[in-house]
Amino acid sequence: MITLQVYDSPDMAQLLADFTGRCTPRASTNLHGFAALDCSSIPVTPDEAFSIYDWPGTPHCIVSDGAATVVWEGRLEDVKISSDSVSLGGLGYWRALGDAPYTSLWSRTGTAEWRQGTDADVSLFAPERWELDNNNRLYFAPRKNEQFSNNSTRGAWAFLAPYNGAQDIAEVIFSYSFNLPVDWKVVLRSHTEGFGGATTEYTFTSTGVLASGSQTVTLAAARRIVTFECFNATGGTVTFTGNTGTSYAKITSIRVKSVTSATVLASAIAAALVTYANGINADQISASGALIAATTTDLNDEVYEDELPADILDDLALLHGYEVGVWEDRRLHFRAKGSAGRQWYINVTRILELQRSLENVRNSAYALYRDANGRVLRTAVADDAVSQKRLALVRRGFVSAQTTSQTEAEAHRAAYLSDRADFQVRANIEFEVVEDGLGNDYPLYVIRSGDTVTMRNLPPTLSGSVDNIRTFRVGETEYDGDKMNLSPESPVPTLVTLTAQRARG
Amino acid sequence: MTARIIKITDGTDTVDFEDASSGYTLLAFRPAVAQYDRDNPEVWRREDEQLEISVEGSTPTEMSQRLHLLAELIDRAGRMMRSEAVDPVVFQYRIDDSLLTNPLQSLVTGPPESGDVLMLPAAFDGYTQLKVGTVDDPVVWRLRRRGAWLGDEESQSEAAATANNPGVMSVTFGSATSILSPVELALALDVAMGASASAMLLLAKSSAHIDIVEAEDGVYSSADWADAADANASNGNVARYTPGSTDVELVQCSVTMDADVRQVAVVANLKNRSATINYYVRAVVNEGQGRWYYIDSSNNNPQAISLGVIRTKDAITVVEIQVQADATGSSANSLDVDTVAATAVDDGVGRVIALPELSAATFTIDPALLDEPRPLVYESAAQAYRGNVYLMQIGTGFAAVLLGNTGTTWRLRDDKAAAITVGMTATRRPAYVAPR
Repeated sequence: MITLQVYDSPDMAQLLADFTGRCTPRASTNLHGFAALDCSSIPVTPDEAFSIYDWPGTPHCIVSDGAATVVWEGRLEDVKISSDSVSLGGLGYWRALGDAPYTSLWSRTGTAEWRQGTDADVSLFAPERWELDNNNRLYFAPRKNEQFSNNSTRGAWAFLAPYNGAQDIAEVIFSYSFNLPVDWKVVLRSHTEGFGGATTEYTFTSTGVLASGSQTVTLAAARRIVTFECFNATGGTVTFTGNTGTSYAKITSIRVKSVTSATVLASAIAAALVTYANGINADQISASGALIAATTTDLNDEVYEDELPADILDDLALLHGYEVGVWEDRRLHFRAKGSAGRQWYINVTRILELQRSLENVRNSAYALYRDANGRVLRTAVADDAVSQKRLALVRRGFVSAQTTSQTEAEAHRAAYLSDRADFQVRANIEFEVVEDGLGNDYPLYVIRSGDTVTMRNLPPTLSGSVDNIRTFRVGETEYDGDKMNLSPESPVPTLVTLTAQRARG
Repeated sequence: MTARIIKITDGTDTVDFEDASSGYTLLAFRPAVAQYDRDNPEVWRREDEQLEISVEGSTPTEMSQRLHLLAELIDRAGRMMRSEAVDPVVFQYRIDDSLLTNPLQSLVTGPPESGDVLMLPAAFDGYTQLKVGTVDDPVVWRLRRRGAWLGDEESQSEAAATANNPGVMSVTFGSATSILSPVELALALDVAMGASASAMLLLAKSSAHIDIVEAEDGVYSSADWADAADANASNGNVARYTPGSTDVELVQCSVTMDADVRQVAVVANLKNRSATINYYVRAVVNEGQGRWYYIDSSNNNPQAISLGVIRTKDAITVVEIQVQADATGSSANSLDVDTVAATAVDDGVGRVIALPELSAATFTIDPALLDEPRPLVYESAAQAYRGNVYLMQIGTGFAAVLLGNTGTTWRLRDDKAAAITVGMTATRRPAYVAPR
């Protein structure tokens, strides 16, 4: 049998209450780990009810089995009392990743978010004397007949990291093409908030001939603002007599990062989010990043402003075909989908309903992304040939990937296609017993989201349209001490309900 | 020849059907027989009882007071079960010619699940003011009680010894209980326990249903395992796994377990010595595989970890501990396994209880089925635990292993870091589903 105990905190130093036998907890799991715990109408005295209502802190709930291992674990969020009963509602520690929004730069490419520097930013800036544009480049060209003071009257483009973000700019990568008069300069400078404390991080001095190349500039210290500036450094005031555009500085292929590693990885972002959430509420999410599996895709455009870590992690997991959540010990996992699940087998006792639908099937897909100028681009179409042959039909969809990287967009396309290529099946099926591969039966609550379930006794001669329910990965479970409801992992909610009720006796 | 005893009392007020002067006469009573309920921590389902009685007094007032007491006792029982400060109400019953010296007892928990506590006769107004209720038209008194009838307490002890730290402790009672019966367990520890002492308590039906073995006595899967001396460990040694690869490696530990056992809970006492390498650990018994548990590098103290319940179709002679590191490393990054314990959990007795803090000389777990609404777990004050503390016993035996550590050190120790002695006293009340 299962037990339910409530503690003052996850370190379980103080037991607040043992509700074993006083209620039947309904515990659920989903793709994010332990999901919800519901204990309704526990009979108590009025004094006890108010004492429970007044529990300090955020109590920790554990449902355990006969080996004192965790069946469900989470935090107590909802308490409802009446004069003779109390109802408790718990949620898994995935919730901790929704406690505080997160703001930070990680990587940004393109020029769309650069703006012209003005004399309100730095008194040296004089945009009116320059022709400046950021159409797919940062462009500086001194205007004909304008006067340019030495080291002053600069043209400038500025990039500002999110205000009060967790990370500032650490590195700027760019390509350049400079065709400037002798001793004119292009510099990259970094600034604190408000354009204070300017530090020159890179300097190019023209020799009067066209120069081009690429640079990776690591800032001496991470800073909130960087500027590219172009100016006369000949030693005296110069009137530019050439035609506008004959001298210019062009900066392209810009990437601004908050890390100095060559790549920006989802696994690094996940680890940083764990550290961030733990730093705010150390009791709610473990600081351990040990269950975060390394990714390899370089993410070019990841800037988060006031976004919840939970939402960020969901997007990153979807992009990589990963699963993300929190199980025991409040430890976040971020890893390949299904890599830690167990395999279970069930025998169907009754099929109440089985229905298939074409509605959400997409066996051909492309992804939308954008170039540095914001123009919408489309990847090539990818096809699931097996699904197209089975259905004798091509159904094409698209997914919007918020990126300028074709590689990233193609990863989104692959994930979209993988989720939607098969028939969506609606079913209501009953079963009684859960077994492992060798026929040992287990209590129903062992099944968790992420495990794989195979229904052994469906007719083998059935068409492939039932293959996606014969064996499926569990998306959600709900166990009430007597009955287990399963739903498969699916891009649309609850298509298949599998219900098991333990045999009596 | 023993006389029948049938009374309900809270120690102050008593309804005694065998005392003619009490004014209560039992006219008809069919005792309920409790059913076994595996999801009920009390094991035996609570039952409603219905007694058909008559009530009389020497005066109308006395009769009325006696009638009222019937309702009042049930009210007190219900309030006690809601943790109000009232004494428990106990139903005592011994049949005629019973072999028992004392009556069996069952705690009254309050009103019946449905219906009234007291139903007066249909012709109540027609009775004399001194007596109410007849065989044909009785007063009906209804109550709810805990399912099992409980006999007298019987205690057996195993003396405290360092060999029990850890080791199998067991007692044998003089007679066998035929059904699951509540048992109170008092662990004898040390008056000066060391700081941060914690343990896993494994319980079993008998010493044949539980075992604890030294991991270094097991069979290793590769040369990455070796015996390592550790003066603080049980028996002075541990099984040390140095991660030469990230493959799954194992140690096979021979256990002695009753041949009929098919489900065991496994607890391993282990320590991750690395600050960087993390390990997955699981138990395997015959073909049954447990879930992988994560032992991360943030905790380098010894930990007794429950590896879950493993099921198998064959007799159990070996428990495998499988480990997998997430990186390779030197012996300084090893995973040490000191002891492995297993207990049968397919008999209603066996279980594991986590005790996160041990600090006083005696640790007691008392199901308190005759006294309290819920079990008592305490040292000098209420203690934290995790698991099912409605302890049960069946047959003649009862066994336990207390597998614990103290802070950074293997085994339970006092405040001078010396390994303590551990003993236990088991006090059971034999349970019966039918009165006798």
